[in-house]
Amino acid sequence: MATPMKVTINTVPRIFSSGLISTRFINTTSTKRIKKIEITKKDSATVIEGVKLKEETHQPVREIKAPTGCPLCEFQNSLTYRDVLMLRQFLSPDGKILPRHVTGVCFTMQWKLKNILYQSYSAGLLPNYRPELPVNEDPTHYLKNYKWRKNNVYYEDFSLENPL
Amino acid sequence: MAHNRVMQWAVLARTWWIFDANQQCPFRSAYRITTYLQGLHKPVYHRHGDVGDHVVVFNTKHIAMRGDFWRTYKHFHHTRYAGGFSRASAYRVHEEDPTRILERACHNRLSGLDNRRTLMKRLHLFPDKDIPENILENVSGQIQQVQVVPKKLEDYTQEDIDSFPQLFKMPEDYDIDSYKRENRLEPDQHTSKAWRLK
Amino acid sequence: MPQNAMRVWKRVLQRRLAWHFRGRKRNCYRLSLGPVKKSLRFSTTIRPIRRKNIYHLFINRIAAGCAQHGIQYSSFMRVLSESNIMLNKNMLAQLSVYEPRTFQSLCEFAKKRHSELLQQGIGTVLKPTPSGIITRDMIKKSV
Repeated sequence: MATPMKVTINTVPRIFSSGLISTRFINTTSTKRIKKIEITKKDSATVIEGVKLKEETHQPVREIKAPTGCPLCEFQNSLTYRDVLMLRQFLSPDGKILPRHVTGVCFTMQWKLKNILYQSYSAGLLPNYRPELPVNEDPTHYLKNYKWRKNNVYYEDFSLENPL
Repeated sequence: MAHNRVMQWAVLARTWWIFDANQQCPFRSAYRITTYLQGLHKPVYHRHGDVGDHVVVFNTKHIAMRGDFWRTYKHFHHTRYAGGFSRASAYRVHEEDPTRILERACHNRLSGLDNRRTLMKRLHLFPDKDIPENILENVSGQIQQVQVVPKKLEDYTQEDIDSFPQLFKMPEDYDIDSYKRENRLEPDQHTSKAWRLK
Repeated sequence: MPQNAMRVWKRVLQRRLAWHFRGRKRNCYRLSLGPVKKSLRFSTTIRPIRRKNIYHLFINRIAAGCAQHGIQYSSFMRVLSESNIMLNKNMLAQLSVYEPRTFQSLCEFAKKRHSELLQQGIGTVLKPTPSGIITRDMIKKSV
């Protein structure tokens, strides 16, 4: 079977400034944008391509001042569940948290980010990325109108910039 | 000491305040409201002097409670007869009467006062935005809100999202589809059979 | 004058202590014995409570005056004590009621001074260590 694959193999692991070593050895071709793999099948050949995607914003990337190389370490005491514009950058289009080797977030801030994202989801500030539930679970429990879920919710935050 | 005490009679006049309870904690806002009901915001305050003000509260339907409190916070009642004990969680109380939780919170805050019943008569609660005009025309001041009203991501415009600076840059070659959620359409094996749907 | 003079004076004293009662215990000696004893006991218990009530009344009145000008009670009192303005709580409470302009000028001074202290920030808290004390940082520096 003829397969014209555009795949290169990098033996050198990528090293970040945080001392993290990614264990990904196979990479697609080295272009400078985010990619999406597309597979097209013809009668005698399958073509696998990494299609370039357009960048969402053309804003310049903010300078990271923390020595760990973590973009969130500066906002350690000020990040709350209300900062939706910040939090949405760390989400995949499905609504999952992006892994650390992609975003460069340190371990403690990733742990905090997980809790903060849970808060802003349940307060209804982020859009509801509802997954397809397994068969055995009742979907009515996850609806917004279910008993106590329809009321407003807030969470405690001990940020220094809290204007209370 | 000034002798023109007649000028200070205006201090003793009873003023009307308004408070927006949208996305506010009922217990924290009760703390602020009861200071105005008792007259603790005036320097002429005395416990037995009747110097309190009227407070009008609207949007009590849209109050916010912390974390899991809608489910766990209970209202208790006992009729003093045998078996007369009853309780209801906060969301169930809120369904029946959307002003009830804030009223109880203010009532509990004023506990131990002799004039609690008269103070509670000066508190006017409305579930929605519409307030009768005979009450609204008296209002001459606004009480500051207790908490910040959060903004949803849907309420931001596309320009606001685009103009916000990026915190990090994605790696040069990163496949988005590799980090996709699995489709869990098959029944979950971890839940016991008693809880599974038929 | 009857034979036992003390018996009369005792009854006079009892009547004097019971003048503010209501009902028969005001005039009848035997009925007033218990309530008078009880009222004397109440008067001793209320003495520290009354002082405490007045203390809290002053604080409430000063705090209300401070809130009108946008400063907290605690920071207001701290600034006044640091800058040697020797006014007690009684006088400050009277100023806040009867002389609001004087109190306003005090508040604005306190706000100014408080913002200065905030700008200095942690520098005021972390003062240099007093002599005769060795910390771990000093050992590291010398080596």
